[in-house]
Amino acid sequence: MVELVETTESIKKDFSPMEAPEEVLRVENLRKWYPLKRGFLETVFSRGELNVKAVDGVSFTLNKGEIFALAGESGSGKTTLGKVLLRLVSPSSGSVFFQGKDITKLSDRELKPLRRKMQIVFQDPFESLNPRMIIKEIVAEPLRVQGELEVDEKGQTKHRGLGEAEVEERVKKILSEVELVPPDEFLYRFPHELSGGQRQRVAVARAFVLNPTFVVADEPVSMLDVSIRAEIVNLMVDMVRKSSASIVFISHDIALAKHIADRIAVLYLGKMMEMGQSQTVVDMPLHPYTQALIAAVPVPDPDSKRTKDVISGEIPSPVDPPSGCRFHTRCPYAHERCVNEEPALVQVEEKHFVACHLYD
Amino acid sequence: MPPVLDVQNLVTHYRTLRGWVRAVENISFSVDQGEALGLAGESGCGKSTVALSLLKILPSGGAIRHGKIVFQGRDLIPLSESEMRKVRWKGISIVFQGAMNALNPVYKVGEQIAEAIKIHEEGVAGSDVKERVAKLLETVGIEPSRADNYPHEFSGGMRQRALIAMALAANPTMLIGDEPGTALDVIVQAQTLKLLRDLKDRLGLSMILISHDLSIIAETCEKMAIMYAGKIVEYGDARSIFKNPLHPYTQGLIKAFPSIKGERVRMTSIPGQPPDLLHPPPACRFNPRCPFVMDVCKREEPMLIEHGEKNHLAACHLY
Repeated sequence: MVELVETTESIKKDFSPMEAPEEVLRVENLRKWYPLKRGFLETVFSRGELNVKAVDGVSFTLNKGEIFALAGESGSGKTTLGKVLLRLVSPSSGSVFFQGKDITKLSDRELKPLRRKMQIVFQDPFESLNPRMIIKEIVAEPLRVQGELEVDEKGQTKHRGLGEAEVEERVKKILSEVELVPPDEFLYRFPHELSGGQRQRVAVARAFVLNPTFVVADEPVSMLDVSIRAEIVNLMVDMVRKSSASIVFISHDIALAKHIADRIAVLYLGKMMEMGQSQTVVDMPLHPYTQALIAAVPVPDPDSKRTKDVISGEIPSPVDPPSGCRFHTRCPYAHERCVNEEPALVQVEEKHFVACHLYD
Repeated sequence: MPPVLDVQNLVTHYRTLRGWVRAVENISFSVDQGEALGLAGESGCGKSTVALSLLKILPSGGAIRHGKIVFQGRDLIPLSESEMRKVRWKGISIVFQGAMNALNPVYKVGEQIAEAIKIHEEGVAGSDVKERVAKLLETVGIEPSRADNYPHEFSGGMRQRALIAMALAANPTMLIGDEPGTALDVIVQAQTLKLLRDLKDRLGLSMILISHDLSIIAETCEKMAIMYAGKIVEYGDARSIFKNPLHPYTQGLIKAFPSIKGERVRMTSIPGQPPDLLHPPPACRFNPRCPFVMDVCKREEPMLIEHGEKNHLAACHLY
């Protein structure tokens, strides 16, 4: 308990004298259920619908200039959540407020001017870049589609198309920002002429060329070689610091998330289990699932081997998640209440939220 | 006691239209009875080619051009295909990467394990096979009744376990794991590695574990070899290498891993990228990326020799 108090103190020391952060995104009770396709007879004779509950009631806010990590195993719903934030898929219920507007309720036409402010970097740079387009066209495409917004004398925002010279200048500028230098050497090359790391830099350039407000990065380094991962991660951190954009960083690697994210949220079967400052969540995890996840991460130190216990079992099906707390089937501390009652995500210390009956 | 496996100056190349890809260039290592060797390196460094060379199951175009693979006192390279079949599975057995796709989806899991037993032990009775399959599944922590399930009814972790059970079917002396657990989630990966460690201790297996993840090797192996561009750059006792990495590439690789422990830090990387193995850089292959590069590194190839500590070799001109 003493340790707990000390951490709270140190958090206060580090983060306390801070003005209220500016909110970029507010997510409220977001759900995305995918209905399961079934045969005709099954539909006729069985009651109720079957759904894959990919995201099931998630709420959080994203602050300006922040890197917010979504961590969890495959099947935890982290990629679906990322897609819903950008409204690449529409949620089943819940709201995503972006600049005061609930983007889940907007039409495609209303959404288009907002699209320039929300971008994505995909996992696989070998598949996310069109192999038949040259780098210049890949990075220029968002500029051509969205043009430029300008404020005229009357204070009205106006939409303006960009000329060829201006497009090229903007492309060159962003390429040098992602350290593809000299840009002239890359403009007319095809993706297959670049290495994996360089390709991911192109994907980052494409995402940042319109000066977005937030970017979803879906496992941006997991396909890259170990020795170049850090470069791409550091590049994204630098882009955020330079442009004061925010990043939702989706990662299965909680060790990586610790080093680059300001805050971490741990997802399990579509629910948020724990959320807090990244150092606190990783060094002092409260939820038994977070503890298990961190204990399972291999440590590059031969002396620490063979000391830990691994929890058994695997993540259950999101079609029929366990009752009560979704983790109770694997939790070493599960008791009766966990089976019957679902724990709410509550704040247990400053900026540290956990959904577990051990703490409420 | 002589080592179970002693690889000497192995050279494996792939023939392509543009010339020979020098995937494995003059590497030597040995594995003792009951010992686990970790083979680490980035993709394209030749670590999987080493595994395929040991079993002589290289894809077409691949050829062992030089060297000796001495397994239990016998060189495998001159062996004929039929003699080699007796070594595979009974002598050296392999668990491939990609647990999700390595099982045949149209056969029951139990049948696939039984097939391995029947092929490698002629004239074994049907009832014996069934019993052996049940025992193997039990060894890897799967309920024996699940032998009648199809692979799609297994979770990812169970498929990985079934593959390990299959690799153990003919009681091998040595087990090669090519990135076991890489496609799995951390918790399942940890379960798989724990199983491998248990099996090694219980059955006295010798093991070669191939992985790009140094921490997995740190947790499982006593000995390790770091490969870069087809060569071993550092080799020896795992503890000694982690405590005191000598080669600049090893140092960079260890630093490039985010550690779950300690303070938050800015991550460091190794500038540049692995070389094209059709035209590898001359002399030390790491010289274009090395922060300590000297003139001699571009002229002369460094030897893999001991520096100070016993059982700790590095190929670098710095020492």
